[in-house]
Amino acid sequence: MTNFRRIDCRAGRNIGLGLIIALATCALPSCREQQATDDSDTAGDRKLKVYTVNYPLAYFAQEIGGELIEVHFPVPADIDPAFWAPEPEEVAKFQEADLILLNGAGYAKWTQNVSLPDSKLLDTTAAVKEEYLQVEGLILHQHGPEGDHTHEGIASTTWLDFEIAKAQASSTCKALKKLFPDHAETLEKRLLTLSDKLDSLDQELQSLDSKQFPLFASQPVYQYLAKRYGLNIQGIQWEPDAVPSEAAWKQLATLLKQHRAKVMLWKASPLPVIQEELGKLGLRCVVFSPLGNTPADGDFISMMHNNIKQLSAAIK
Amino acid sequence: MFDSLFIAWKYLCFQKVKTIILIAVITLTIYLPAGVDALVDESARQLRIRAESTPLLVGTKGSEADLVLNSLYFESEPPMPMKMTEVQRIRESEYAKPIPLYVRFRTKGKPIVGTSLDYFAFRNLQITSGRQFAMLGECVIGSEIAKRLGLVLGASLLSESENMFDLAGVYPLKMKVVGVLKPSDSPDDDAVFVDVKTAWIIAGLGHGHQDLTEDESGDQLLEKNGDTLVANASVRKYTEINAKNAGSFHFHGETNSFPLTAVIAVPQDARSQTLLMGHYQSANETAQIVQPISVMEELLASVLRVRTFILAGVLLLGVATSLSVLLVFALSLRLRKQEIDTMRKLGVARFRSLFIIAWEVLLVIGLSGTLAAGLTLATRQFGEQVIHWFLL
Repeated sequence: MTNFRRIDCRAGRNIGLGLIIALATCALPSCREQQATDDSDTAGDRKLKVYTVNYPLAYFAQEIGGELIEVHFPVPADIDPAFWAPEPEEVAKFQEADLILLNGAGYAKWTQNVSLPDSKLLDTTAAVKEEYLQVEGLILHQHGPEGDHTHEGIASTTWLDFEIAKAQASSTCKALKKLFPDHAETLEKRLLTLSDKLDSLDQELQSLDSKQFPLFASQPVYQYLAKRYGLNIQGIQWEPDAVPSEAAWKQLATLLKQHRAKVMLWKASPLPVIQEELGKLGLRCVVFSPLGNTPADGDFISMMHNNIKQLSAAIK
Repeated sequence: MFDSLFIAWKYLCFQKVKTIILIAVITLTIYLPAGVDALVDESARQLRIRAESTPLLVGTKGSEADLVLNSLYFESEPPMPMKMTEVQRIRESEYAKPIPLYVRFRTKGKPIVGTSLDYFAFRNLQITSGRQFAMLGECVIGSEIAKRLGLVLGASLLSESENMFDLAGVYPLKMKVVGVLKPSDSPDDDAVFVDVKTAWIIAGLGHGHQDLTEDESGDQLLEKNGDTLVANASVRKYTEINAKNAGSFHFHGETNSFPLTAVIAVPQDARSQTLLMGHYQSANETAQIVQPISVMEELLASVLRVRTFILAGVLLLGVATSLSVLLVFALSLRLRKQEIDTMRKLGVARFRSLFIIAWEVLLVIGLSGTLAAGLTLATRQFGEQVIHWFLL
């Protein structure tokens, strides 16, 4: 039975109002937007950051890029860049680069164990891979189902062959031209100037009369130098700041019988005691710095001239 | 008119249970087809957005659907692996920027996406806390994973074995969380990102172990023949990459031959896209290139066909329910005959009592329609979240 009460006309209006509120509540505006990707690869007015893994590449980049770029080579001066182990914060800086110049040939192995943006990486020796030289005397080991294997070893101081160095400078220039298409002509001119300087180094070494002059090298870093300029180098594994063991001295004495060298190349000046002992064996120490890291004085070209001058004087 | 409406309203309020049941039945009858339609539309929209934002995918020839679902939504079985050389091939063509993907492993049921840093720029994914992965073994997690699993920076995630019975299988890798991504309302929110090299380590293609050349005791060395070292099985393999052992990690073989599940190719322009696609048309080609949006449209066409069947079924159900509701109203009128007679004896005109009943019916249908419309609008509004929670 329906329960009749006094009629209130306002009640009817309330029903309509309720319906409007219900509809309005459901029709909330959507705020979502698909964000557009911004993946610009070209340079505007800002200086682009170029990070490198060694000093020669930093020098080439600076010579070619000049005022257009900021070159960063963050390896401390007392560390060989080939064996640098960066902290995550240092890797993060590389990740922010606009261009990362790698040497290739397995140089700076740390780059294989960190995360760097593929699109910013440039292997500067990619075009001259057929020139790579193998390092001998690697440790063979086995574990798991893969059987015997060695960790591939490629000699990595490629820039000591100045023809390869020119190729590295050329690929650096090509990458910079992509970033600065409006400055292509300037970049090309600078590359030519740099190539001329490298050619002069090449000529100096070519003119050395050292083909049959036996040499020892304290580090296995002169493979490209030896091959390109026909140097007769026997490599050993001595550090300039560590006195070799008795066994190492004996080994050297044995080697001297087969390889009658009078000069030993060092990447840095060895301890006086080493120089003295080598002197007793008739060996003179000559510093030929590969310049993997920034030199204290001068630049790549002037220091290389210095290297060649010292070598030339030693073998005369 | 409002008097009749008021009386009808009061009647419905008095018969609360009956009214609520009627409104619920009619609401659901209207909402079900509309809601299903809205949800299907929304999920199709989301699938299209992801597919449209991915211009090209390269993978081994096989199921295009598997390739797209695995690469874009990190769902389905991984497609047949392809070689890393494909990345080099695309890069050297200079038609597109290649982004490698290796989506094979899981951690806590969530996909581990092995990729390069270019993926984050491509998807416009930003770090909200922490930093990008920089070293092997580090990972960056989606916002949804961080929230659901309560993970913070510095926490660890252990990769899952693919097969629990594979006792000789690869070791799980303990990954360190170094960054959390901003929410992106995409499958990226529910994924763990690592460098593709870390994914290869999980796959057992790279590892770190004790340096036997520095093992002074020699307990683990079985044989030393020149440069060849043979050790016993006690050589410790690392299951976590940290600052101390990072240097010992290495890969066996040429990384260019290592596997990927797909490569995202981001072409420079339409011409480059066409030229790159042309590269993969040879009959001897082992890889395929697909436009995810085309594959997705084909998949959605199948889904839409299914939707038509579902909607037809729901509509038939709606007709049956409407007939039942009509019956309820008819029976109700018969039950209320005495009430209507009383109204007439009180002097209420015949058309007025019919008017009141008509208002009752209209109110019930109107309220049901409004509720159904509200639910449908809410489904359209919040469908994205609903789909994320339940489907993606």
